[in-house]
Amino acid sequence: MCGLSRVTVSPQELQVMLEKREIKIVDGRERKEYDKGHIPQAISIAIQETIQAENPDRLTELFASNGISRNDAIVVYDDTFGAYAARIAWNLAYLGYGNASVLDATFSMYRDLGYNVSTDDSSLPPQEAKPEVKEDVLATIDYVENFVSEHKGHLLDVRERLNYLESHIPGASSVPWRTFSNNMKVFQDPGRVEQILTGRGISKDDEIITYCGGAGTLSSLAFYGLLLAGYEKVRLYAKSFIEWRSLGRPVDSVKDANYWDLSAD
Amino acid sequence: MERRPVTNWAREEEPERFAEMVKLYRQGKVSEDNFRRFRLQNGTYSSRFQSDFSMLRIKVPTGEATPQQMRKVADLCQIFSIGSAHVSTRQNFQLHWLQLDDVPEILRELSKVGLTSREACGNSIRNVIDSPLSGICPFEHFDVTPYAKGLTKYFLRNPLNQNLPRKFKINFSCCDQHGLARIGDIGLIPKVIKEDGGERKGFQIFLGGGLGAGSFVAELLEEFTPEEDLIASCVAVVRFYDRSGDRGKMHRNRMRYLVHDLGFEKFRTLILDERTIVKATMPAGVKLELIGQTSSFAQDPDYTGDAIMKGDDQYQGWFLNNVLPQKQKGFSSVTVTLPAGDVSADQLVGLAEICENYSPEGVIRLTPNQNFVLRWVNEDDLFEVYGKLVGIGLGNRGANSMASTVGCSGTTSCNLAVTNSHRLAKEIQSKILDMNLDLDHGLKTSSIKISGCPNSCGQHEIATLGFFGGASRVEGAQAPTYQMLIGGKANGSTAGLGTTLMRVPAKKVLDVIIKAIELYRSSREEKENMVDWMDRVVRGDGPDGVRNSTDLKSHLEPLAAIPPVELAPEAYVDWGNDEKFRAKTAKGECAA
Repeated sequence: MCGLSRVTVSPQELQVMLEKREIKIVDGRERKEYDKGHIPQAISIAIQETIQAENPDRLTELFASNGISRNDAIVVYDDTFGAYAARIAWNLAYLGYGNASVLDATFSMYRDLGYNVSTDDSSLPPQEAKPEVKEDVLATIDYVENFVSEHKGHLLDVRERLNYLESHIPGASSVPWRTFSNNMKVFQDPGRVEQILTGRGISKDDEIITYCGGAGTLSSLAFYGLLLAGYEKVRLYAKSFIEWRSLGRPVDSVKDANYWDLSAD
Repeated sequence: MERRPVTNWAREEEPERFAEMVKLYRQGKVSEDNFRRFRLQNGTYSSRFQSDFSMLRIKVPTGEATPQQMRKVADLCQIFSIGSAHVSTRQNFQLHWLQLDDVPEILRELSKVGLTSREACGNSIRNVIDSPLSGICPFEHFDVTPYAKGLTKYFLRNPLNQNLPRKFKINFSCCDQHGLARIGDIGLIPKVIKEDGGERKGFQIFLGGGLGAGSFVAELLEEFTPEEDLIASCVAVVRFYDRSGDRGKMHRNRMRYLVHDLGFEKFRTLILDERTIVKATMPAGVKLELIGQTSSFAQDPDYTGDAIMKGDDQYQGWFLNNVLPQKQKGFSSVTVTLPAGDVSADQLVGLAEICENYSPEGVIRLTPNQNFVLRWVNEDDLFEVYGKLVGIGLGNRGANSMASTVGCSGTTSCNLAVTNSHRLAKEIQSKILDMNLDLDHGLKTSSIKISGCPNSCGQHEIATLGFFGGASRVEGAQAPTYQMLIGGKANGSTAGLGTTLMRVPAKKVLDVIIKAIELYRSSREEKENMVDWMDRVVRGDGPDGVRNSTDLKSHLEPLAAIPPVELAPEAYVDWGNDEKFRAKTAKGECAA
């Protein structure tokens, strides 16, 4: 359904691609971090820029002006745990860039593996592009409402469990984002993800929507984690719980229990 | 460092069985009751009023956990729980607010590191606890740990204890000065006697202890039970209880009530008779398997012993109550102070690394005071270890002092809880540390324990200052309150239950504690600790002005007033809440 040819690229695979110069690499970190050192050939498109360019036209212009065209194979990375990279990659997927994947390593992991980093300014000549929006990776608030009331599939709240207990979209299930994350790489082993989701009664034929608190970064990581594990019918509720609340939609909470006081944090 | 062999307590098929049962339950093919019994047998409680959320109790026999197991718990609590785990008063790990459907996967992961949740809950023999100082205690006759593990193995999954009238608790102490032997259904203290020019290892076995609505201290079975009679003695008690416990009255059928009703002498005689039968009919091959070696490490040849000299006030303060010299020269144990037993995933991972780097024993112990103990630390490394602990946010002082307040789950997750005892325990610990009260030597041996209801999972009856939660009505409005008890203790062969003093509003418990400590400090004799001072007061033999309990109460009562709700709305809101207090409970799961 998403038509991505590959979801993730390993650092090892990336070396081959770098040599052949056959991909475009996007560094989603802050510009000043990029300047200190980045993966060779990577261009800087900070996540903040993508968040500011809120509509498809401006987003496409942002990517195009940075030299990315529709037919490019793109790999995105960051230095969080892959959430920012996944969000940028999702943006690309949404705009119809069918070949955007997430590096299965953060910048720090990549560097610590001993690969070369570069301080070259690797900007690319601007391209022409028009958005070709792929609506089937996005869930709007209306879609979510309808999805739940018609019991269509699984709405996954990927925030921390405590946040879910506090309040969540009625009908959502709690699958914390760490289900899809791995301390040593970015993505959890697909086999493990499948095992967990099967236990929760979520099958690969089911439609899934992911959401998180605000920026849609954790939910993007989950989005990609699901694709990697073979769950293809996935959408992102990009505007997230913050929109749901601000528009006054009803929420569910687990009441009468002081679960926050169990936290050691 | 040698790899220490790890006992595998798990069975591969159990997670699959659990998955199957959840499936059948969801399909309506298993009744609510049967499913509940099954999941309790597999260590899974439902979380406060929520049938879809669960608490999983991971059995950690003798409280001993490996770094690998700690990393696994860290991983699991991040993916499936709230990012923190809990160290319980029976030395187990607890994972809270899990989705029921995730439990099979969690069990699968736990079995990979040798851990099970089998019989951690329900009407079975619960985790066998062992004083965290076993093997290093200067007062012990011998290390009971291999015996405690052996007994665990003997009873785990044993048909003998799959359907007892109620839960059953076995407590090992390291010596007659430490541990909870006298509040267990079976309590054991190691003892060596001289006989025929040689030595004989065995135990003092105590029976019929336990805390709750009716609390009793365990009594001695016989002067000395030789080690070869350990299994037969325990089997005799369990079998007798299995047959004779009142299965009709769930609220009053723990073994201690049976003992109380029969009278101890009669019970003792029946047990000794039962044991004779057990020994006569036990298959010849049944023997207690001693599991694991007692640790023994040589002192570092470069040992200087200047641990105490190093470091600033912070370190000294921590050293005072968190470091205990072992009987093995040059080594000390380090107790890590947790806030009411809660530890984050990152902290677990950090501790695993500290354990690997600083303890040749290579394991850490969970303690019944909801803390961790790291043993066999070279004293020359103590300052460094302190630095590492501070680095992961676990450098709090006061571990083996009154500052280390025990608090049961309370309203954070338990059906039976009336009040938020868990949060209150954390507030008390913070306050005592903030006021540097833990640095007063006189408070070293005292304790504060909080339960959220009368059932005493917080063990409030054995605290110097104990509190259990309830609700009070003041002119029609409900207020969260605690009953305060004083003078309780359980240390090896000594135990005494606290006496009820007075009612205290939840928000005033801290003030009352501070005031009680002030009264002690202003009237104590030289070098008199608070435990002894409190004993004097309870006896009616206290100092001028605090001669007896009535005096003490009169000092504290002004702080414990509950004004009407219009004047003091705060008093009608429990800790951790914004809304007005309303006692809410449901059927408990502690009884299957």
